[in-house]
Amino acid sequence: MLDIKNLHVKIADEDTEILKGVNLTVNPGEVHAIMGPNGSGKSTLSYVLSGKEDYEVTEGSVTYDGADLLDMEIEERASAGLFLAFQYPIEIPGVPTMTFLRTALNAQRKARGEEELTTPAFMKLVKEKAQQLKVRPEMLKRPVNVGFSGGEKKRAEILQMAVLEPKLCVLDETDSGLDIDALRVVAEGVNALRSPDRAMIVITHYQRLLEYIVPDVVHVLSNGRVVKTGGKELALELEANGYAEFETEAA
Amino acid sequence: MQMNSAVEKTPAEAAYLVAFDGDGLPSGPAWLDSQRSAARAAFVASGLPHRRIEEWKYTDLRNQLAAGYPPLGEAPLADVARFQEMIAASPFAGLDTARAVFADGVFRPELSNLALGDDVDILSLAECLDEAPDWVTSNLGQVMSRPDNAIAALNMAFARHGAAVRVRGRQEKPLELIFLHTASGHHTVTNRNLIVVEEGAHAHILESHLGASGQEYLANIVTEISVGKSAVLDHVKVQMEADGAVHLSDVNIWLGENANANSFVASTGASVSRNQVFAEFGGEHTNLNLSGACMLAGSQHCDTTLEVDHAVPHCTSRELFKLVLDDTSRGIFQGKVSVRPNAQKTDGKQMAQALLLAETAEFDAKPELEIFADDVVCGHGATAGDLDEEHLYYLRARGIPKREAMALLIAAFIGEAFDEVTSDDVREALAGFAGAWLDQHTERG
Repeated sequence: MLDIKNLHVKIADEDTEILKGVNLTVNPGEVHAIMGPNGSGKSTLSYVLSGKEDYEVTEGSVTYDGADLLDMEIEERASAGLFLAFQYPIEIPGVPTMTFLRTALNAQRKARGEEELTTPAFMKLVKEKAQQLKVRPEMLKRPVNVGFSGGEKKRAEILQMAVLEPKLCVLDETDSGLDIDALRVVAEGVNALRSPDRAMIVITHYQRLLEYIVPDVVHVLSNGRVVKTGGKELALELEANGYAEFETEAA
Repeated sequence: MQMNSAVEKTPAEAAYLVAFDGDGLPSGPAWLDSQRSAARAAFVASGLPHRRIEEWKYTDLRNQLAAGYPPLGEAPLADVARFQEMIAASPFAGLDTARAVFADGVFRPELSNLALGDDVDILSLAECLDEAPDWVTSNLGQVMSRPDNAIAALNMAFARHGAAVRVRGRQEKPLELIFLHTASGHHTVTNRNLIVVEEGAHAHILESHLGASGQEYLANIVTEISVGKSAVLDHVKVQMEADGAVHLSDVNIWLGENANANSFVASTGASVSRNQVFAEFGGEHTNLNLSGACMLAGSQHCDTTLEVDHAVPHCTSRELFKLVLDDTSRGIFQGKVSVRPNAQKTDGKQMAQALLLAETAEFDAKPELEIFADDVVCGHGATAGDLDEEHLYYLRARGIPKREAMALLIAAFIGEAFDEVTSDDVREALAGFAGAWLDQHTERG
C-alpha cells in the first residue's frame, strides 16, 4: 500500500536535512508504530506524506497504491484515502464543524466518482460516529476545533477519520495531551477502524498508546533514519531502556 | 473649504453645471426651493471632491469620474419582464417583503407591492412633494444638515424620486427598496429616501441596488433616517451595481433617546463606490451598530467613510467592516468617531479588517478618534492579511480542493460581519449573496 524508499527531506528554504534516507513498507491490514526521540523526524514524515508545502523532498520516492504520492496535491492524497490525524489540530474560526465535515466528505466522494451524500444521510452518519467517540453534539455546533480542549481536539480528529473512512491512517502523537480515559476512547475509535483493507501508521513517543492500539510492526526513527524494526515487543524494550542507545548511534 | 473656482472644471463637473441651467432641473416644491438653491450654490463653489480634501483623500472624484454624467431624463418604462428578472436576482428575492421599485430612478408602482399594514406609510417622493405631509417637509434635508458634502448637494439639486417611509408600529415584514439600472450611456440617476421611525416603532428596511451589466451610470443616493425615542431600526443594504457603474451613497442617521439602530452594507458592485454614513446621537442610552462587508476584484474601488458623533452621554457605537480584496482592487475604510466634551460614558469600538487575496490589492484604513470627554471607553483597530496557510493546509488535508477551501475561509472571514445582522432570514440571504460572489469569483480564477 505504502512504499517509502530512501526518502530525504529538508525544510524548504533551509539546508538542514531532517529525513536522511527513510525506508518503510506498509501493507494493507497492518498497523505500524513509529517511535523515536524528539526531533528524530517523526512529524516531518507525517507532514511529507500529507503533502505539507513547507518541506522539500531532495531524494527518494513514496509510492501509494501504485501511484507517485509525492506528485499528488494535498487534497488528492486525502481523496485517495490518506488521512493524517494531527498532533496539534488547529482552530478554524468561522467555519462550522458540520459544514467542514460535509464539504470534506463530499469533495472526497466527488473526486472518487462517488455520489455525494444527502444531508440527512450525512447527519445520521456523523451522529452515529460522534456517539461512539463520545463527542458531544455541542462540539459539532462550534466552528472547527474552536474552544475545544486538547483532548476534545484529538477526539475530533478521530471523528473526522471515522467519517472519512480513509485507507491509510497516519496518527501523529494522537496520545499527547490525553488523559487515560480519553486515550481509551480514542484507541477504541481507532481500533474500530482496523480492517484488512486499511493500514495505519501510529507515531508516538511513548509505549502507552501501543497497549491500546497494538501494532504489528514497530520502527525506531532516529536522526532521520529508521534505525531498528521489530515486533510489538520492541516498544516495551524502548520503554525500559529509553532512546539513548539510538541517539548515540546516530551521533 | 477648498475653493476650486480657479481650477479648470472636469467633464463631470461641467456636465452638472450645465444641468443646473437646463430644463431637467427639478423646480420646487416651494418648501424645498431654498435647500435646492443652497445645494446648487455649494456645488458651484466646491465642485467635486478631490484628494486634497482630507475626507476624500483616497477617493478623488475629480480624477475618477473621467466623463460627464448628466442627469437622466425620465424615460418611459422599458421592458417590464427585464425589470422583473432583475428583481428576481436580488439577494432578498426569496424573502417575504413589501417592495418599492425604482427603475432607472423612477418609482414604478406596477413593479411594487406596498402592502405593509396600517402602521407603515410608504409614499413615492415624486408624487408627494407638492402636497407633502408634515413628517416629510419637516424631515427631508433636515435629518442632518451637511452642506459641505458634494454627494448630498448634488442629490438635493436633482432629486425628485425616492421613497418616503414612516413607521409607526412594528413592521410585520421588511420593506425592500429596489433600485434598478438599465439605461445606457453615461448619466446620473438621483434618488433620495426618507425614513422616519416614530417613537417606540420598529422599522426593517432593506435596500438593493442592482445594475444591468455593461452600463456605465452614476447612482447618487441619499437616505435620511430619523430613529425616534425608544425606536428600533434594522437597515441592510446590498450594492450590486453594474461593473462599470459609480455608486455614491450617503446615509444619515439621527438617533433619539434609548433608540437602537443597526445598519449594514454589503458591496460587490460598481467600479467606484463610496458609502458614507453619518450618525448623530440625539438622546442618551442609545445604541448604534454599523457594519459591512465588501468583496472586490479587478480594479474595483470601494470607500467606506463613517462619521459618528457622540453628542450626548451614555451612548454606544459599534463598527465592524470586513473587506475581501483581490487583483488590483482597493478598499478604503475611514472611521471618524467624535466624542463631545459632555458625552461622558461613551462606549465606542471600531474594527476594520481586510483579507488581501493578491499582492496587488490595497487596503487603506484611517481611524479617527476625536475624544473631548474623559470618562469614555473607545477603541479602534485595523488589520490586513492574506489567507492563513495553516488553515488552508488543514482543509486540503481533509480532501477539500484548494479553491473550495479558500471559499470556505473567505466566507468565514466575511461571515463575522454578517453576524451583526439581526434577522436570521436576512443573514442567510447575505450568506447566499456572498456564496454567489465566491462561486463566480473562484470559478473565474
